[in-house]
Parts: sequence; structure tokens; C-alpha cells
Amino acid sequence: MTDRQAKILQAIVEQYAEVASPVGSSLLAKLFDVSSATIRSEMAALERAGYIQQPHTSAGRIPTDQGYRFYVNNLSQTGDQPAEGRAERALQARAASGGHPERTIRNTVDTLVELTHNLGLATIGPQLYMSGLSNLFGQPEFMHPGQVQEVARLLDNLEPWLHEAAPNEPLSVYIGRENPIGRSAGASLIISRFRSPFSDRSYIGVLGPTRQSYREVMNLVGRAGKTLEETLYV
Amino acid sequence: MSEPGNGEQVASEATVYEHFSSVFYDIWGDDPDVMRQAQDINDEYNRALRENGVSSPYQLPVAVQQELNQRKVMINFTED
Repeated sequence: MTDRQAKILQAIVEQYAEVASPVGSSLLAKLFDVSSATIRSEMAALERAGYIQQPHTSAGRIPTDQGYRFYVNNLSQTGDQPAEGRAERALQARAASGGHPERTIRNTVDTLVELTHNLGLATIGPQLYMSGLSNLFGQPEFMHPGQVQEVARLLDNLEPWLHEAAPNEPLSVYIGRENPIGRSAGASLIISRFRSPFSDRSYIGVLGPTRQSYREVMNLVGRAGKTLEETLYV
Repeated sequence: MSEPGNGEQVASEATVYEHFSSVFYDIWGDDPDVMRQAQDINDEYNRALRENGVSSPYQLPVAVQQELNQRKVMINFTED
């Protein structure tokens, strides 16, 4: 992929997350200050390589799972994190506010739900606490009954899978078909591992559509895990 | 504008809907800038409900839901 194609893909991922509608060549032409024809040619190359696709209902393009994966890997490699914003400050304040560990974890999950508008989840010992189901099923991506069923299957199997697979990375991102369960759900799972009084392998994270503001959401989930560990693990 | 179906409530001028959760107010209640943006979005939701003759945000056209939902998310990520 050329540098310009990578930048165009990045713009498509970020614009699509922000406006939730397919991204057209005229908008990108303005952003990059080149002709629409140039953008269309680059988009055709990205589409041939499997990074973006054209939905039936629109002339614009949206990222594929492969496109999101490229974007997320690029974020991780460059260590390109947003400056600490008010969302991070609010999350840290609420995660560090003390109280019973279970209450603190639930409070942090509820805050993640409100800040990201995804479903939030955390392991508390053998239990899985979840919050924000209405956010998840209120997303247009999950309005088809088949997809609702796939997402429900993913949720049903999430707790046993977390205990069995026990992801070891500080932050793990499973995009769409990368999810080991509910592969067709069109969902992304972003989880952070942390140590708590309940387990050295505790997890907190969010589940939502593949259309995400990955940079912000990954940063918030990572901060949530880190702050909980600092607060709860002595 | 679509007509409401049987048994559907219609949002009226007198009906006040709250489109943000109590957690939202716990987080941002003391931030006047966020509260001002939230009030604008709340008003827009209620206007959309009235204009579309429906009683729940989930009955709004998908494009309207997407736009307003996304604005709710972006409140959290936008700096002063």
C-alpha cells in the first residue's frame, strides 16, 4: 500500500466512524486537495486489495474488517495516541474514586458505556458484568434479526471464552470476523487485561459495531484497565 | 412525515424526553460546555420526534438516529 493510499484509508475509517455514512470521493478530494478522479483511482486500488467496499445502497465506500485491521495495526505501531482529553480525565477520576472493588469496576464499565456508546463489560471473579445492551442493539448495524442472534451468541459465550483463552496482551482488539465466537456478528471487541483482587487476569472492555472511533476507544479501554489496576491492585 | 400507527404515542410540545443517562450527568454535570451541547442535542432529538410523529428515538429514520447518536458520542471526545 502506498503512503497516500494508507492516508486515504485512514480518512475513510475516521470519517465513517464520525458520520456513520459511506465516504465519497468528493469529500476525500477536498480533504487531500486533489482531483476526484485521483481519489477514485486510489479507492479502486484499495477496493481491489480488500481494504474497503461499496455497500449496495450507496456510491460511497466503507472499510472492510481487513481495512480496520490495517488501521488499528498502524495505530499500534506508531504508538499514535490522542492527547489526554476530557474523556480520559473523567474516566480516570471515576475509576480512581475508591470504594468497594466490585463497585469501582462496575462504575468504570458504566463510564465506558456512556463515553463510547458501546456495550461495556468486565470480569469480576468468575462473573461477567455487562452494561449498555440498549446502546449495542440501538446501532443500525444490528437491526437485522440474524445479526442480533449472532451478537447474542457472542455475548452468551464471552465469559467462558475469556476464561479459556485468557488473552495476555495489555490491550486486545478483535475486529469483525476475527472474533473467535460470533464471527458473523459484525462486532468489534476491545479489551484490556488488568490485575484486581479478584484475579490477575481480569478484563474490562467494550463491544460494538466494527464502525468505531478506534483511536479514542482503544485509548479509553487501555486507560480503564491501567487505572483499575493502579487503584485496586496493591 | 409519517403518520403514527395504532397505539403509538406522538411526542408533543408538552412532552419532555430526556435522551441522556444519569451516568452522563454524573460524569459531566459540572461542565457547562458539555451541558450546553447536551441540551442542544436533547432539543434536536425532541424536535425530530415531533417532526416524524413518533414517540421513541428508535422509531426515527436510521439516518437521523445515526447522526444524533454520533453527536452524543462526539460530545465526549471534543475538547473545549
